[in-house]
Amino acid sequence: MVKRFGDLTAVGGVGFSIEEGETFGLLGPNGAGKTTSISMVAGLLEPDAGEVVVAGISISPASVAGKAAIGLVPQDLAIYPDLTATENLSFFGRLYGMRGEELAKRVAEVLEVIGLVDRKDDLTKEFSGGMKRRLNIGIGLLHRPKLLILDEPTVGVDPQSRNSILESVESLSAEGMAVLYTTHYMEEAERLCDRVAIIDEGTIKAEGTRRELVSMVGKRDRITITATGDLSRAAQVAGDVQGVFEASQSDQGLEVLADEASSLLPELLSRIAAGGAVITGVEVVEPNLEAVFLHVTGKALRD
Amino acid sequence: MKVLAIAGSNVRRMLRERSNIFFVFIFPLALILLIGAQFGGDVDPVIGLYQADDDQLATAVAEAVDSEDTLDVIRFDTDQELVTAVERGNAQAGLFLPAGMDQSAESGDLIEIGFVSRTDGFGPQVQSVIGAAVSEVMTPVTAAQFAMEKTWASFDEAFAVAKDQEAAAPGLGTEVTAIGEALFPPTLGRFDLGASSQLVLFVFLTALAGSAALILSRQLGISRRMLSTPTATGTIVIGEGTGRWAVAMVQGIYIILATFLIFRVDWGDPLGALLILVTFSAVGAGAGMLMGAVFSNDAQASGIGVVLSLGLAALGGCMLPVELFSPTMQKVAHITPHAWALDGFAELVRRDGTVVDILPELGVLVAYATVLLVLAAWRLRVALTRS
Amino acid sequence: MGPATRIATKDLKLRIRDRSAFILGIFAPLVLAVIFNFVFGGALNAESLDLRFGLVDLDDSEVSRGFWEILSGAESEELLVLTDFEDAAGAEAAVEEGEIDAYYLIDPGMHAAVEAGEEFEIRIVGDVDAPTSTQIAASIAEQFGAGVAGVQLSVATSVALLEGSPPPEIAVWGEEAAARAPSYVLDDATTETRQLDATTYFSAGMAVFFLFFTVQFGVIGLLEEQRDGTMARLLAAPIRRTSVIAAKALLSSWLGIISLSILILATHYLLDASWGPPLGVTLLVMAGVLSAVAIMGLVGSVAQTPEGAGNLGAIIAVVLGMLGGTFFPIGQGDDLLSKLTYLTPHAWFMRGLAEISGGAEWTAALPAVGALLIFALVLGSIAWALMRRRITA
Repeated sequence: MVKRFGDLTAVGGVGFSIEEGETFGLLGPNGAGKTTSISMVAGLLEPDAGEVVVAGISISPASVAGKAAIGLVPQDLAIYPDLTATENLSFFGRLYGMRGEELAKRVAEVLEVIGLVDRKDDLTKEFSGGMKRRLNIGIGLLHRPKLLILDEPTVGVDPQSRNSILESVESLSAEGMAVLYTTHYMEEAERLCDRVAIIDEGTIKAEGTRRELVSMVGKRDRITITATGDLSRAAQVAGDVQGVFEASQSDQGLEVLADEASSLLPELLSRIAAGGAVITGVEVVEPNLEAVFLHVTGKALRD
Repeated sequence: MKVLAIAGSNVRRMLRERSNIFFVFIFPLALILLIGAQFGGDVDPVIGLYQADDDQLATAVAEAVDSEDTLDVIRFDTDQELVTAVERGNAQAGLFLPAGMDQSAESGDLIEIGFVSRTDGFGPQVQSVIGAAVSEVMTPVTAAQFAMEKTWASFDEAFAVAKDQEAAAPGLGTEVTAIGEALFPPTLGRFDLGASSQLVLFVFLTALAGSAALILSRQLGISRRMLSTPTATGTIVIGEGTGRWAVAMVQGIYIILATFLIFRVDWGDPLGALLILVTFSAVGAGAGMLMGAVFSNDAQASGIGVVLSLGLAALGGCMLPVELFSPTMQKVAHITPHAWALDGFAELVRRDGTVVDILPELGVLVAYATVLLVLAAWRLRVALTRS
Repeated sequence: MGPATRIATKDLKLRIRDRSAFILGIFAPLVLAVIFNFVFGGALNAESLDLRFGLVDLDDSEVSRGFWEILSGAESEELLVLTDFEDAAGAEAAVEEGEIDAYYLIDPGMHAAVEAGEEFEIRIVGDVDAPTSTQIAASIAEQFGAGVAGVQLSVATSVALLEGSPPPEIAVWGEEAAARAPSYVLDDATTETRQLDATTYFSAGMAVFFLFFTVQFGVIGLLEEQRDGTMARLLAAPIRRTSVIAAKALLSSWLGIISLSILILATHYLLDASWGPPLGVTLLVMAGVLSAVAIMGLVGSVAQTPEGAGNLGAIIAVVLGMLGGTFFPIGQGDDLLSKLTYLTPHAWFMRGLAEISGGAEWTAALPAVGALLIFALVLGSIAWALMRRRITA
């Protein structure tokens, strides 16, 4: 998919495929083009190039019927504050063509799934942030979509609610729903997603399973030590510390690869210092998606 | 149908809004009640009278004014109290009978009878009634003074004769008729006039104020969510438009029913009244939807909506009947849909008209509604698809 | 500058940039005052009514010409426009076309009836949709008729007193009587009363009505800050709680004063509204603004949320405005309403302005100013106490 707004290319060639039952993550910082991509997948924006096909149906703003295959859980909640949870669900259910008993039954089911049965007749403006997010997800699920799209669903949410949201997504995935999940939180991508695409500045920089991505930066912790003095001696000393896989000299100091940096760091540093080097800085980079992101884009994931 | 679902949610949200309980339901009725009480025909204007002394002439004038049955006369002990009463609005006008009227009459000095009236009330009418009463008492005085010059009679003699001769001096009377039916037929209740003006004012006001709901829907991302469902943009637009119309209709039907039941207001031919309401609500719906599509800030839209509604209502004759406007302002008034709706109601209520009689007015309202709704639909579509 | 003033200044800059303050504080009242003035000013002011009358004189006598002279005298003073018609049919057509509001029909025989002392009526036929003009036409004719009666009576009295055959001079007595000044005059001193003319009434009414919306911004801002969490930041700084509340009150006051001042100047120059002696107006404005801030502050201190405060405030502002006579005059007679109206600051503000109208001294406003200050003091103290308890981090 490609999308331009005037001179700005918001999305310049983003493509991926999601299998049934797979949770696919789109990981990237704010402004990377996640929401624009989502809008195209949800049929809200017409791509300038490329196409979106869900369950064999082409999705675009013009193809109204195809939208039945998609459930959108937008970032800005999009629920009516002056209506109750039930009324919100019923209203949107009708827009999906459900009515009567079928609608009522489905609404009751969804309320059960999102855990809002005892608050179903309360106005949503009285809900906590977490409850609103759960209702948001509920609306996305009403019509049993083939693909559920969640756009940063845990922004600004307390840890407890965040956890329950993540659990809901996990169980949906377990039931066989395809999920497209965008976030800038690495922990969520790591926990939920079968495959992740790292997106920045409108293009996908890397894609694959967690393992595949992490292997791009290596399996081990990388300790970068800025130091002056006898660096080659320091490297030798470092290499002798138990648990260190490799220690080499660099322009600024030392680069050390180890399995458990946190546990051996004190000993490593004291040995190097005792060996005559003067340490001015230490940085530990663990192999996770954030590291991958840094590696692939040269920027930190969180700004 | 999806259109009904969208329209229904609009009405439900409008009824949920707590401040609407006051503004949509309580306030219009309170205003109609207040206007009916203040300006209904039953109340006679209150006139204050101050008599400086017990001179016969002064007393005669006072009694003549007192006996006017279209006035409610109150005596005051000091002239200052009377002036204050008029200034405060407790009396519509005041008459001040000076001291020594008998002496002045005899000696031929000019008698200065003071008069003040309220600038915001029935000044001219009251003045002519009082003027006529005073004139009747004072004319023999003038005649006596004339006779004193022409004969060598004393004032008292001449005055006595003048009073005897009154039958021979009828002057000129007046007979007033109107072309066409009377403007305010006697069967017109005191609340009838206020009710149709307030109906037109509030239906439009509610329709415009409701634009905030549409803006909010866009701001909250709900419109975008609606687009992500298998619902065509056209359906959403028609749904929102119908919703605006339904909200206006709720306001209108409530006022008609409530005033009919509580104040026994006569709305004329029911079908005619309903058609005017339906078409005028459509005009309001178009305006409200247009505002909802064009504005992004719901507080601003509300503020401008209130000003626009009150201004158009005033220009259209909702606050003062168009009949009392100058000819230029009457033409200006008919730029507003309000004036046409009021003309329609006037035809139904004052002239016992039927649907056929109001076809021109309905036609104009339909034209307004069509233009506004088409414009609004286009703008809303643009606003929705741009998200 | 104390901390309160500093905060208020910052808020003022924000509010001036905020268009809703401009709309409610200045745009709305000004536009409505202009519209209302156009619409109502013309209608309530009888002099500026467009009077167009017709005359069908089938008598063509001295008396009927006398009537014509009166009408044409009024025409040359531009009080009305007179058109002569050959017959009633022509005049009636003109009424139906909307060219004239009413016409006089003088049947033949008026002169003869007047000479003989018999009854005779001038007929006035008016447009059903022009009741006020028709009424004015009728009262002109009535006055003329009363004048004729006076002449008849003068002549008849003199003749009766002479008890014998009337002298030859009687022929001119009619003219002499007509030319003679009447014994009395009805002296209309309305302009000397302390009432607001229509333009000033609407300008002042709209201004004070919207004032209560303008001053809400400060109070609602206070509640919004509490909801959004910036209140905690303010309270964590070395600023007293009372300074924070005072800052909002100050902001509301400034907004109110600015908006009223602009409105007063604008209506004065655009609409010729006459507000009265500047010192009196200034005192009324200050006291009025303080009472508005106090009332809206009280509303804010009992509301649960900023939206609730806005809604409740709007309701109170509308009810007080209605009862206070800003939409239409209240106070006819001695009923409950004319007493209730004095429970509103609006009525006192309007009354204060009326007291200093018509050339009165500015000191005449002091009682109204006092009443407004009492509102401000009593309600403001309660509001202050409630707010202090309410404003926590």
